[in-house]
Amino acid sequence: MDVRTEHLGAAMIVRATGRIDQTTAPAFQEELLNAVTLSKGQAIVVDMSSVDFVSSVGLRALMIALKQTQSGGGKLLIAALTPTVREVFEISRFDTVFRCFATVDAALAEAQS
Amino acid sequence: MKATIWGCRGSLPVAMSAATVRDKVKSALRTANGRSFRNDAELERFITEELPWPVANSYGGNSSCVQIDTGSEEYVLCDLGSGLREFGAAAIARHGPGKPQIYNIFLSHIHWDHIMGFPFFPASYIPGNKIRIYSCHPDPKLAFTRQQSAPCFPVDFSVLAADIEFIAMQPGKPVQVAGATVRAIKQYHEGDSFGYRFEKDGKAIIYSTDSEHKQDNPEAAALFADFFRRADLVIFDAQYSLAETVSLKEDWGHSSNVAGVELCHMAQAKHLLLYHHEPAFNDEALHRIFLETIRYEQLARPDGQPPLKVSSAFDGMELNV
Repeated sequence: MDVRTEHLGAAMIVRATGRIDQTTAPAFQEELLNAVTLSKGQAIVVDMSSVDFVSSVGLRALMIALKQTQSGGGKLLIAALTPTVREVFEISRFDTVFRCFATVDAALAEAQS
Repeated sequence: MKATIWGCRGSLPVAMSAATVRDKVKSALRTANGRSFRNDAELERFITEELPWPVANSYGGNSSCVQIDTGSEEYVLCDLGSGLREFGAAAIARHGPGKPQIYNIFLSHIHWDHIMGFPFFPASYIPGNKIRIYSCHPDPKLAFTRQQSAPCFPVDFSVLAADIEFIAMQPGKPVQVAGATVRAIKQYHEGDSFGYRFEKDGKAIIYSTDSEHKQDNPEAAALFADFFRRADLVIFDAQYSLAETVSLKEDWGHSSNVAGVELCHMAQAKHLLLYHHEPAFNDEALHRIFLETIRYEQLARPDGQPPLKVSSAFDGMELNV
């Protein structure tokens, strides 16, 4: 699993690749929370287009980041779920918690609205 | 060993409404589409093979009660929810009221939905029966006497005629009961709850309900994985979705289907049984969760690990291990 953050316009994009599970979730969470700190109220878009699988610990990391973002008045948006990860979101009901967009561009458009 | 589910529902017993029954009948008649059946066998085949499971069946609505058949003459039960009433009636029907029996009961905890069946347990009113209630809580008797005293119930606990004994148990100190070895583990739930591992002849059944598993505690996960290790059956509290357990219902003391799959994978357990169903869910909703759990097991299964069997508990279900 690899995870990187970049600024793009009025948003920060966190791009993860690979499998987010018990082993890799701590690094994913650390990067997410760093992004929350650096965002200073800017929207955060999590690009999931290269994530193969996410387990409960990875989903929890997203939830923690969401709570912190919202407490600072910001937005955390999920973009480009792969079919497998979309299934995991639906099974775990995380699709009812997060705002998910089909593409990064769609999420960025929402971030700037 | 064999596990029989007498009550699979969490928190509160529920009953199917007349409208729900009519909907099931309508759906079955629509599927039959005017077909006639020559005999009961054809009808049974149609019901089993052609009707969707939640149309032909129901998960049921009794609160927690599971029988563990160890092959002994003595009975072993987990929890005394409303499912106990039907177990008690079946036991009386089997033996008749005049033949004393021994009932060994393992309590997960003393919240109401787990003890509410006891005032309706016929064996407790009949002299000669022995009822041994194993619990890791400091004073479980208090909960029983409170629920069975005025103004809550007309028959006081003190007049019950059976020989009722409360036996203190501790995690890490196994007991031998009805030919099985039984171990306990402390679980995260308001007021504490305890799970049990029943072992006999190389087989193991886990009863673990009213237990919240947090994703930020790998040490606790490892502890439970050890407790569940290579179990033949894990009866697991899956009342909420994973999203609920980390948001609105965090610290409410229950777990999810996703957590159940992941812990069973860690433990290399053989069979996960979803249990302690949310009372707000109808048969279709519970069946959807069951099918989704099978899918999550496929997605999450570690490379090289054999498939984990997944089932969803219903009242009257019997599982041999």
